[in-house]
Amino acid sequence: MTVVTFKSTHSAMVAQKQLSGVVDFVVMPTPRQISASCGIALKIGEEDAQQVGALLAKTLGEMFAVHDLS
Amino acid sequence: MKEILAKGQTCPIPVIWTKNAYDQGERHIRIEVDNAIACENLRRFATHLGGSFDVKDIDGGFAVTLQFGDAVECPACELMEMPAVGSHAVFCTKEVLGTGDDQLGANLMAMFFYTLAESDTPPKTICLMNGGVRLATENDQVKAHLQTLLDRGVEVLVCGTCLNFFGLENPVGQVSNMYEIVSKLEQAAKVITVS
Repeated sequence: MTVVTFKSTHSAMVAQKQLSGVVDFVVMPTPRQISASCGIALKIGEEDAQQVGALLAKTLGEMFAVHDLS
Repeated sequence: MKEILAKGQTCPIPVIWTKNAYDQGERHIRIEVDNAIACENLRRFATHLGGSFDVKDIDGGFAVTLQFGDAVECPACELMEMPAVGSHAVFCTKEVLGTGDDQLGANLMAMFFYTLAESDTPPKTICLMNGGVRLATENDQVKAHLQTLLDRGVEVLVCGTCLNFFGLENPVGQVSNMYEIVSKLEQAAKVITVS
């Protein structure tokens, strides 16, 4: 499972707007094993991880992280 | 034809007895039950295995007749493999969780249903009313979670009056009414209200 976490709730919402219609994602609670400031996380396809990372880096800088939990 | 007398038996006993008969090779089964819930669960059982379902009123209950073809190869019924559901109900009357900010509330609601769908003990029943019916019709993420819950044996009841008011149709779950929803809430061991 590939999960994107955020340092703020605002960042999580900006990310959703940015990713809508571009890649499929599912809003989920941040998994317990990941330490993040924000409780909102996005589950994405493993194959989309690189694209998501590149897209979000432009707007969110270091306010997010992509985790491979598989 | 196999005859099963299950009057006086509450669910899941009639379904379990029917499944046992099916597992023993019976393909034409008549079950006598005395409540509509058992009828509905037998209908689901038959549908799940590609069989036909027929029900007739009899004295003091119903006679359900199930007919299965020989082509069904897998007798292991997924109904029996489903993780157990809890005894509680979730009553949801809004499309966002809480008050304060609707965008945040929409996220929280999506996360709530994601977590329910992943839960080891999902609720027995989810009742959606007023704006909550939008979750079962317009919200793709929550619809997927509701479908997962349905597949796990959770009953999802969607207020028909509310669907009509909003001009919505084809919800994930079963279109229901106030009588049934109140009855389910009364029968639940506890009710979690999401509003």
